[in-house]
Amino acid sequence: MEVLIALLIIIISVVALLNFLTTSLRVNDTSSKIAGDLLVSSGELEIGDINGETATVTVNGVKISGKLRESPYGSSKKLVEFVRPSGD
Amino acid sequence: MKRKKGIILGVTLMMFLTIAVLGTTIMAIVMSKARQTNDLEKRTQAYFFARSGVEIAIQYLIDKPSENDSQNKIWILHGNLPAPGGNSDFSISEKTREGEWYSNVRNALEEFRNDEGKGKEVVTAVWQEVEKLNILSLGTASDVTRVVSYMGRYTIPETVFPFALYATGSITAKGASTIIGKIGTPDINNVSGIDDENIIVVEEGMNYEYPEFKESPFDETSPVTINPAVISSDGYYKGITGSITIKTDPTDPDSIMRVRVDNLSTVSSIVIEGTGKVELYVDDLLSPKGVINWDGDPGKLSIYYHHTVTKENEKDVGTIDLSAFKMSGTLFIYGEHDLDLKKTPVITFGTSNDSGFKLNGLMVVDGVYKIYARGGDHGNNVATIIYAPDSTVDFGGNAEFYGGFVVKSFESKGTAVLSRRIESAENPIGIIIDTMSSELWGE
Repeated sequence: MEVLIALLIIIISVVALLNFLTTSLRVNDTSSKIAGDLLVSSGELEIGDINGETATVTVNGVKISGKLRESPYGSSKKLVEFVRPSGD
Repeated sequence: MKRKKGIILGVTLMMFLTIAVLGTTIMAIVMSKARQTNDLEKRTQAYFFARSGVEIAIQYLIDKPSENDSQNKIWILHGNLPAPGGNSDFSISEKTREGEWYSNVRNALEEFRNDEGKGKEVVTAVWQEVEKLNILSLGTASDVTRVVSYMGRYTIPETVFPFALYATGSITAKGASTIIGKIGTPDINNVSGIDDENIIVVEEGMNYEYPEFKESPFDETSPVTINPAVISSDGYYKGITGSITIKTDPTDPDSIMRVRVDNLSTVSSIVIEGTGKVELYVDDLLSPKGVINWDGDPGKLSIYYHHTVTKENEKDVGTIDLSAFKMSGTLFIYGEHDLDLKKTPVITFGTSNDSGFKLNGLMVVDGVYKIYARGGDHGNNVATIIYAPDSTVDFGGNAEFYGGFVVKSFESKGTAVLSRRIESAENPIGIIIDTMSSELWGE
């Protein structure tokens, strides 16, 4: 009987560990993907590859119309940068 | 049997412990990597927030009312970026450049961010040291802050020519005519009809030299006619009617295309395509017509006209009538006149309110002329200048000019208006910000 309980504990532990390993690998993979994507996205913003949508910043009554460049990365995230009209 | 049970329990516990330690270690490693990635995301976004602050600060300096002087001030712009298509209000704080705001701007700005700028994505400080422009920008994404510095040159073109009118001789404003802006003269006694507060006496005078006049090329070449005119190479063209398209080098902004035409009296428009510049030599500019490079960069077009007036032909060629001409660029008229002419040659902007002459750019008149206007609105902006230091101006009727004059003498009458109020907030002149090659971006 005791042997059976011991076996059960070990099986449950191994299954839990395997589950845990799978989750960890998934997290690790997602992190690597995000880090890689981030490099590409920031590079695209740096070289001004993205046109972006018009947006306005008002400072002290002075309206500054520029472009809001959004560079997506990961599954649903994005990097954002505001550039002035001739600020490429 | 009891001993066997103990061994099983011991082995089971050891295996359980091993699995637990293994699991915890893997979790720690993976969590550390996830944290690093999260940190990298925030650091990257914070960097772009900081760069955005620099962009906003530069554009603010270009667009702001020109009377603001930042020599002893330090401005802090702070706020959050707008959503796409949206608007965001940035606040501005002004500090005097002293104490920590002088000796350690980085620290002072960090303290400011923790205080007034708390929760703001962008906190940017801007200050000037003579012509050096300094920008220090903090970008914050969540709990991560990055800093970006920027250095550039800051020059204000109006210091080149600060007047609405400068004349070495007499300046007279009669009737209801108005001159808005500063007036320069070497002797205050030359000026009449103008408030003293608008007059600046420049005792030593102002010494501007004529730029180099370029004579027409292609003297040995027979002119060709092409209609509709699409010009994509240097050459001598005649009899062109309607619109002209000049195609310049698409990639080299320093390239110059040289085009000579017999006249512009039958031309309706000239459009310049490409990035290169155009030098247009005109044989006959006595009554040019058309809309020339109007939506284009005035720096891309220079028109040269050598105007020869002799005692024999002065009746026919003594007047250059620009009343149907609208151009963006530089118009250079070089006058070669006999000394014993009956009348001084005339350049007329128009004789009625229908006059269509309009200039966006520079007009250089090298020679003795009478510049005449009796109606119409002729200057386009504060950067538009008529440079004719040997000529006189007779400005009357309802004539208006938005720009500046450098002439020998100036007389306005009727309800004529000359306006070049460069210190006004409503007429700001663009400043030039050039990046310094040695220190463009830094962290």
